[in-house]
Amino acid sequence: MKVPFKWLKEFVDITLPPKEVADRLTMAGTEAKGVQVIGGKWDNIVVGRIEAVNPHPNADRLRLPTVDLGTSQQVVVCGAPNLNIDDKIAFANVGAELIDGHTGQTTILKPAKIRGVESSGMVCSEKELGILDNHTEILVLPADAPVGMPLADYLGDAILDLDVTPNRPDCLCVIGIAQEVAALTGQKLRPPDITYEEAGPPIDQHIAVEIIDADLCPRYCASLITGVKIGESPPWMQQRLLACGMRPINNIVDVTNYVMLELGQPLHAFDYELIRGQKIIVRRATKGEMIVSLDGEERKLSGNTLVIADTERAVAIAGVMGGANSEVTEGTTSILLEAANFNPASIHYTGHNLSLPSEACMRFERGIRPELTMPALKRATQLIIQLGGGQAARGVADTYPGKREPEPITISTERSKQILGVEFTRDQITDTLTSLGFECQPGGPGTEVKATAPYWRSDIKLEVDLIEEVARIIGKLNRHDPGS
Amino acid sequence: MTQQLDELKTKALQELGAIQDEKELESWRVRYLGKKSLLTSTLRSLSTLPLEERKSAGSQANQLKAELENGLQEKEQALREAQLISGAQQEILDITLPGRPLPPGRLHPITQTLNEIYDIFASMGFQISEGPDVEWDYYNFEALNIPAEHPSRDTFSTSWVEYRSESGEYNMLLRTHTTAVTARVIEEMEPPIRVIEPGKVYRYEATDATHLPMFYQVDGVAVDEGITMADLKGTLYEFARRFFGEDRKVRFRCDYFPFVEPGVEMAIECLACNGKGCRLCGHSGWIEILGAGMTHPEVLKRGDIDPDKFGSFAFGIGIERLPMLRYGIDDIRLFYSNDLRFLRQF
Repeated sequence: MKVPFKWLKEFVDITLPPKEVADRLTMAGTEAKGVQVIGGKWDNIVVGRIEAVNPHPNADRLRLPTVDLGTSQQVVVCGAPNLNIDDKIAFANVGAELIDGHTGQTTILKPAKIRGVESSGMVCSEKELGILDNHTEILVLPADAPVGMPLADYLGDAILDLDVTPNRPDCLCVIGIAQEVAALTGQKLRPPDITYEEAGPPIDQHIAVEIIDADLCPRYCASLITGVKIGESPPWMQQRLLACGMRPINNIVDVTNYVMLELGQPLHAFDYELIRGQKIIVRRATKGEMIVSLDGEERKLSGNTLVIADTERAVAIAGVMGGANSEVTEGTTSILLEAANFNPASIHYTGHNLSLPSEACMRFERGIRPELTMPALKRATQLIIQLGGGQAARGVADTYPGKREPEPITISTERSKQILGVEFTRDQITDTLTSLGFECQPGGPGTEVKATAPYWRSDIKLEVDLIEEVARIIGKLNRHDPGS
Repeated sequence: MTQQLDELKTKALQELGAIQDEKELESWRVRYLGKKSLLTSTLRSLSTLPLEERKSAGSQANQLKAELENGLQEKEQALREAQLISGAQQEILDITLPGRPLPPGRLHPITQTLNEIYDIFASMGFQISEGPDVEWDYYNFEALNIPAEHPSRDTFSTSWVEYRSESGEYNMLLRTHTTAVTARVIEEMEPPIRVIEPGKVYRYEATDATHLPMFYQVDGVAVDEGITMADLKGTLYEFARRFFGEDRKVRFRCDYFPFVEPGVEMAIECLACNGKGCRLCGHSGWIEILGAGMTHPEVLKRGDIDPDKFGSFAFGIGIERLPMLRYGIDDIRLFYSNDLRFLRQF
């Protein structure tokens, strides 16, 4: 799981450097395999704006862009084909450390005379900056990039590469890691705003949801956004998706992936116009039922496969892959957005059977909680309106046959001593668990705490689970040398 | 008759004296002592002679036979000695050289490592227990709190055996970890328990410099009243100290294994860079040595051990890694490629 540091900082204040955060996460159970620094060597590189582009007097392929750097202007020689006036670009001053586009070697930029014209600086390609491999064109930055700002401040980031253990599906998202960081650094989590404006008739006039096989689908939530314009998602979102290893597709699909990375809930977008009978039915496939999945493959389903269907046919393989018959395309204007919870074993079986492992599949398999569907659905609806325009119907559809009340678990100071050999005070236990989002009440005797796990923690079942939480955050399991 | 035999004797001994090599000697033997030789046929025809003649001819023939056999033996030896001497003169063979030594074998580095581990844990009161390599999925997974469909089953690439229990409930597999023996020990023994469980484990994995389809592990488990995480740390520190030396720094970090709670991973300071960070340790300065933790209450309950009364810790060590780190071996395949140039170094 890759977590961009800047994204993390949206949800928790971090004053520690990325390496220190990575170390603390590692010690607390989520191992950081590495920290990839983007822009660590971008000294002397700033955001510039192309003011003018003039031909080179002695060469057809070369041109002379004038670059506005805020406080000064520079004329340099450039061979890239995509120089457009007013574009924001990355400008390297003399002395900058760049990767040579042809040899791949790191070089220090020096002033040069190219075909008789002095050039003290360079408009950079992605390859020269070490971001991606593209060296045929220069990197064009978003239009709102502030001229003169050091590129490292604008585009630099640190990507934490985390190895999340199978018991912690809640850590397969940015907010989950933010929660851990908050607890480990004594900060408070700042969840994203998920409100948006609703309009028009209530959603149940547009769509009905029926869950037939509730054993495989504890909850199904949906929202409807009409009047959407499909297009590319903005560069900031694309960059984050790319940093996390996902390919940008269009604004709607990108939002579903973005919210999955942010909050951990897989989502699926249907073209609402293609859903027949204004109804979603969640059921087991009939034996031998066929569906063409989003990748164009025709697939034969077994009777154990859960599908999302309309009144006539299956429109998605639940939790695994959407169907081509309801796919969001360029012409789509109305989005039916799904955030559902599925039985982990069923998704595991289907994903393996159809050889379709996916990011969504992995999250369902590990047992994410049904409570997560609602905040994720609202967040995604909000982002779709923000990026694709349109209007959200009033309310959301919510069918929730698998609702269970969370039960408090009792943890005592004696038991923690019995397991760990170290006694924690009741206050230590309460403070630590609260920092992880648990709700704590003092228990009967003076040594007990009744703790209710936050909805996202599917791994907490027993008192020893709580004891581990306390120990790993306070750090009693580690920091010890035989010599000390 | 007598004359015949006398002539035969003279002729045979004359010819014998002239023989120069073993091949000639063999043809001589066939000629005078073989089944179709005159002597043999004479002996066979004795029964047809009158009694008087039979007696004298018989003794003469037998005497002749003994004489010829004797001559044959002597000639054989003489030829062989002559050959040895001429061979020695021709080949300049120094027959005074000592014989080829048959060097004593030595213990495989993995066996040596295991022996060292046995000594360390035996000195702390641990017994050794073994279990089957072909194991029920119950002991490999279910008894260890890893039910079917548990996501962590995916992390073990399992080789299944086509065999089911009679009830159809359980399948057989090649055990993926010696923790399966821990499940058996917890089921079969009564506390206090202190046991280590060495053995081969199997994964369905492609072979490369750090992976093999078969390798060794040693698991261990302790169950007793009053056992806490402090005992786990003390025991494993002692192991690390004795195996890697007094000065090697050790750390514990939280980790997850379904059969323990809390779960930890023990790492030692990197032997290549002493904690500064290098390629071997992934620039972290630490190298993971083993996984451990307080035995999960569900695992104890399956063995009818009351988790409220008894404390328990468990651990699992990958063996090949230990000599690899200690001696700077960068390819695990060397251990099982039977190359004496490698094996003789230990």
